[in-house]
Amino acid sequence: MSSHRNGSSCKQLKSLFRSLNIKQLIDQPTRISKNSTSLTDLVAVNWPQNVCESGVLSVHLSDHERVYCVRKLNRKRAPSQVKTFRNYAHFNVDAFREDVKGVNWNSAPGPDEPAIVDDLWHDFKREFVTVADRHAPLTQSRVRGIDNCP
Amino acid sequence: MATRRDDLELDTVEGMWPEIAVPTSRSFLLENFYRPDRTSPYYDKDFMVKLNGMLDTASVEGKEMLW
Repeated sequence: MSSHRNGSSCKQLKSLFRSLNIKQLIDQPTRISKNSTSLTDLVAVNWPQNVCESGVLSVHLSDHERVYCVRKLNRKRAPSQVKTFRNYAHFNVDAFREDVKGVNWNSAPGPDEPAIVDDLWHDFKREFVTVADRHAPLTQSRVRGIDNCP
Repeated sequence: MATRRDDLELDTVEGMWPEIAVPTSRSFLLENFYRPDRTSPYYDKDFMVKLNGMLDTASVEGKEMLW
């Protein structure tokens, strides 16, 4: 568009790209003369993740090189993922509370034995998870993959 | 399949907007245009304003654009 990187047309164009979230893909000169090189032919896109390749091709019989881009046609789906959830379909909060109340939480050692915090935590976790598994069992489910393509 | 979107074109801007339909995917707009050089008799000092207007109109559709 402009042979002057800081010219007003160039600034306007850059501002336009920013406002519409457009990315310009060409980064090599497209018009090469004896004394100067300029980038005057552009490819701009608003979904750059769909373009896998772009560049400048030499065209010997023209005073401008050719710009190109390759647009993906077959969208690759991200592979599905298997995730683990708790199934709350038959969860009864009152029954869960009753079961939690019924657990013997006093597994702490007597006054003569040293209390090891890691052991206490593991005991608590084991008891709690046992009750939780009964009321809201773990289940696995296949979910749509996340497309992390840039 | 391509459909020329002349509703997005302006008579005073040298360019066209084909809309490319892709099977099993959303169509996209492939805009081509040329800005005549300042030395050209077809040079338009309001080119950038017109370009801005065209892109604004097209982007309202929320489609992918390549140009």
